[in-house]
Amino acid sequence: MSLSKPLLSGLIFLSLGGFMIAHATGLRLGTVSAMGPGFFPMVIGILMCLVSAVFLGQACTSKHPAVGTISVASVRPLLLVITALGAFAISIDKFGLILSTVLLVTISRFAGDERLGWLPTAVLAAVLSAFVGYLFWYVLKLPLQLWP
Amino acid sequence: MNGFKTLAATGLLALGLAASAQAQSYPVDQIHITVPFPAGGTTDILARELAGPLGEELGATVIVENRPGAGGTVGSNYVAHANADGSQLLLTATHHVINPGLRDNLPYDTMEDFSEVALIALVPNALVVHPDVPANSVAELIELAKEDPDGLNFGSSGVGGSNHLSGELFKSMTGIDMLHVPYPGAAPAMTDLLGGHIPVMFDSLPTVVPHVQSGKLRILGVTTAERVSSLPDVPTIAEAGVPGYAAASWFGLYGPAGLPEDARTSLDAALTKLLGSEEIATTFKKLNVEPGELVGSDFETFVADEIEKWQGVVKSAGVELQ
Amino acid sequence: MDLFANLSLGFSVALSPANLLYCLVGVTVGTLIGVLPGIGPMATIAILLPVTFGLDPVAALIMLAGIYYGSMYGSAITSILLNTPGHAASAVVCLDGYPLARNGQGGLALVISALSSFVGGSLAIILVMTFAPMVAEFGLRFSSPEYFSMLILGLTAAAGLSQGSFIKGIAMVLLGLGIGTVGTDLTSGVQRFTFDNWNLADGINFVILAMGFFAVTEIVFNLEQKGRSTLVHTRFAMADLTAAVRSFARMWGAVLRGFGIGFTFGALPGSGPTIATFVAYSAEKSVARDSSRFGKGALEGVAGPESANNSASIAGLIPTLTLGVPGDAIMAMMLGALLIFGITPGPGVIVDEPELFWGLVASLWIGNVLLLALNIPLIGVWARVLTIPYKLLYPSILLFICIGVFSINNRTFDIGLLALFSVVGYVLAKLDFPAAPVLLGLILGPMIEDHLRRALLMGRGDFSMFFTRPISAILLLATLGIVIYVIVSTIQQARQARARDETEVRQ
Repeated sequence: MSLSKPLLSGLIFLSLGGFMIAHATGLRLGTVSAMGPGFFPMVIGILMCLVSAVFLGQACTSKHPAVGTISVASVRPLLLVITALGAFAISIDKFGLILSTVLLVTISRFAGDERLGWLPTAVLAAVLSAFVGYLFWYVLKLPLQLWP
Repeated sequence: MNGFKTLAATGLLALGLAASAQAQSYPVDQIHITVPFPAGGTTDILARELAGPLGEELGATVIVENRPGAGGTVGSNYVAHANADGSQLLLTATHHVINPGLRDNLPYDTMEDFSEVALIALVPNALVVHPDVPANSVAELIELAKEDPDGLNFGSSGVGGSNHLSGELFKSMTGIDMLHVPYPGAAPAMTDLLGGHIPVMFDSLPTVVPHVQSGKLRILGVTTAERVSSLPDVPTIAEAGVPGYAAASWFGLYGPAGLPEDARTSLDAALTKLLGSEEIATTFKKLNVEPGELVGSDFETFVADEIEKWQGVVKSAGVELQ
Repeated sequence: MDLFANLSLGFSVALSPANLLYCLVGVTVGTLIGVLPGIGPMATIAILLPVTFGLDPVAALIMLAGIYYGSMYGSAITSILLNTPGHAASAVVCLDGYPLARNGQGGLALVISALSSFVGGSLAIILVMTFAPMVAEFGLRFSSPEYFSMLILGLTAAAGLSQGSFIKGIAMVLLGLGIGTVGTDLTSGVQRFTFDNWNLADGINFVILAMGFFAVTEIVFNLEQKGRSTLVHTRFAMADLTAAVRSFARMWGAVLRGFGIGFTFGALPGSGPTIATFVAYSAEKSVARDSSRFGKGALEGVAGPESANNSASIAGLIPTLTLGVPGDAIMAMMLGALLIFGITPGPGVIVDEPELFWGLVASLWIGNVLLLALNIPLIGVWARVLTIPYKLLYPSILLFICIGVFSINNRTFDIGLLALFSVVGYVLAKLDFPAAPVLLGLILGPMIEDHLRRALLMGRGDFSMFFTRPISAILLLATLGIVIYVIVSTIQQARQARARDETEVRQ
């Protein structure tokens, strides 16, 4: 998969700018002497659209379409790292610090090409959960559950 | 790591974890006090100062937890929906009773979802002006504002805070017009007041006093119903021309609705004793707050009155609701 | 000249054996917690604050000073080694510190960072001792119009940060400004971009964004590179230490400039070290003969901002203690701690409570010295973190980032937000957008909006005040100067590049 970088950049900032403007129109814009909450987001949104126009212009006039494209060979590292973060976020309230640590370590294990063996993974999970449990739960008393 | 252990031990002591088990205790051994503001603020400091003695009194471990956000609503919401066995308490500021008037989409009902436990502490506010303002009394300030309705601005720590609404209450009771200028916190507003960039402000007494003593500010009145013992010569705003005016910042302790009877009794007894104690009086004096005296149902009535009062102020001031 | 009387008073308070021990404990624990990736000084101090509560005020303050320095340096260590800035000022240090670490010069970067910070801080202490009352008085002349002009100057000066495409830097500043508008609008109390979610009502914390855009993105990039089992193989030996100290001797210009910039910005109420570090970085970049080295491991890019950071923190004591206006969230927390010990900030604090003020200043300096003494021998150990097999390292980093992000507000929602920003940061990094400007936008945006709106509110909508108030006018003139300088030098560079191309063609 490959996409033109300027095109993608332009589309991203165009949609961000459009989103800002759309949200800002729902807020009061106010007057110069008493600016409303919508004024600043509106200005930012408009500037974002202007910037996106520059990127889109670059995309149209680019002489070498092959230069400046991105190619994503594998989305696996990103997907698995995000999954690991998400799993930790969801599980920590329900299952506590220890189990979510184990979950995070186990999922993130798959993110790289070079993977830990299962035994080292288990050891790493055990050591890290003991460490964070001791430090953050026992000593520093963060308001976290340790266990379900 | 040895230092760490020493430190951890100090920490445990400080948190009152070493509390010896005493006779009476309602059936929980850990009490969590949620503070809906960040660590280091006045509410947080009060909670931590209270945690030790309260833990000793109840024979329990008292832990302070900060759940800041959205003018205290995030932490309040947490406690509103927490287990009502007396193990979860909330220590919060005047925001708690102002929020119902200010925010129409609160995720809880301020009156129905909490058990009012005790009024912990009070902080009087004062009406101060920059020395260049040609007004030496509340009456002169009102006169000045009437002559030049566009001329006076008053600063505050932010929309809906107690020192914003103290000003709005003043405006609505005197019928004058002053432009409200909000700041991100009381301290930057005070800086602009000292620099003469804004002329008027309502701010907490402890912050104001050193500046008044050094002649950088002029105090016109205190916002409490009665004069403050440390400043016997300063009139109340009510005496000085706005009869009936009263507005103070205060801090209250709450639990979720439906606290069991034994928890209520133990908490009432413990807090009545603590708030009258020499120890708390000394600590609170250091923090420049006055110990509260209302416990249980007296406090409940107070909270209901306050909610009604601030709702009225917010409405008459036309503060933008969301 | 009371300088020496003040100094000796301060040191007599801070130098008792018990107080030294508390300082040492504070520095050690602060470093140990702060060095965990993702747990910045903010989180470290918040976590450790209650620990000081049982002590007597002077001991507690001194321990707090130790924790402050320990956590700041601990955070700088991981910022440089692992690209995990736990603090806005560290984000700037990442720009060149992390490339240095990746080239196997992590130890060198750590030495430069520690020494620059020490020198910048020490010089600032001397200035504070001499000029504190005057500076406090000057700060009062700043109001919203002046702040607005100063922020615009800072933003313009820091625009030099964007590496490569200028327009991409602008786009990222705008993104940061946009993210900065999330939350409750200060002036009206209206919710913006919160979608009825209370967790967004106070805006998005800097650390969450920084961890997503810097730290997690970097982990994913590393994982995409095949055949990289460890980040770095080289170790840091004693010989490298002397070499590093020798390189530091060449950094004097950068350290002095950083100190000056840091002190100027830090001494103003409410501006804080962040803007100072960003400005110091672009100052270094603009005075350098070859600015293309920046972003690839230029030592001045570490030395200038680190000196500015510490200098601004120390200078920030003046507004924090005399006006009660902290420069950033960390100072706000320190101020809260002072209140616990019965110290009310006010104009009289320096005169009325000299033991306290000078004791605090002296203990900050002692904290700084102990930090150096403790960490210089440990730099080899820290640098060795990078030789750990990456498959063991990255799950641990992810875990600490999650816990660090959680501990800011004690809520899990923020970890979800972290995941979102990681994806956005990754995509934008793939498109060659620089990450630092987004942080600048996030931090300065709300301040710019706030001051602009307040200035116009107080001035009843009259824009002329920005030019008729003298301080504001000077700041805007300086901004104009920078803009002209940038335009002229860009044209010159383009001309030189064209000339070079032509000669190359001819040859």
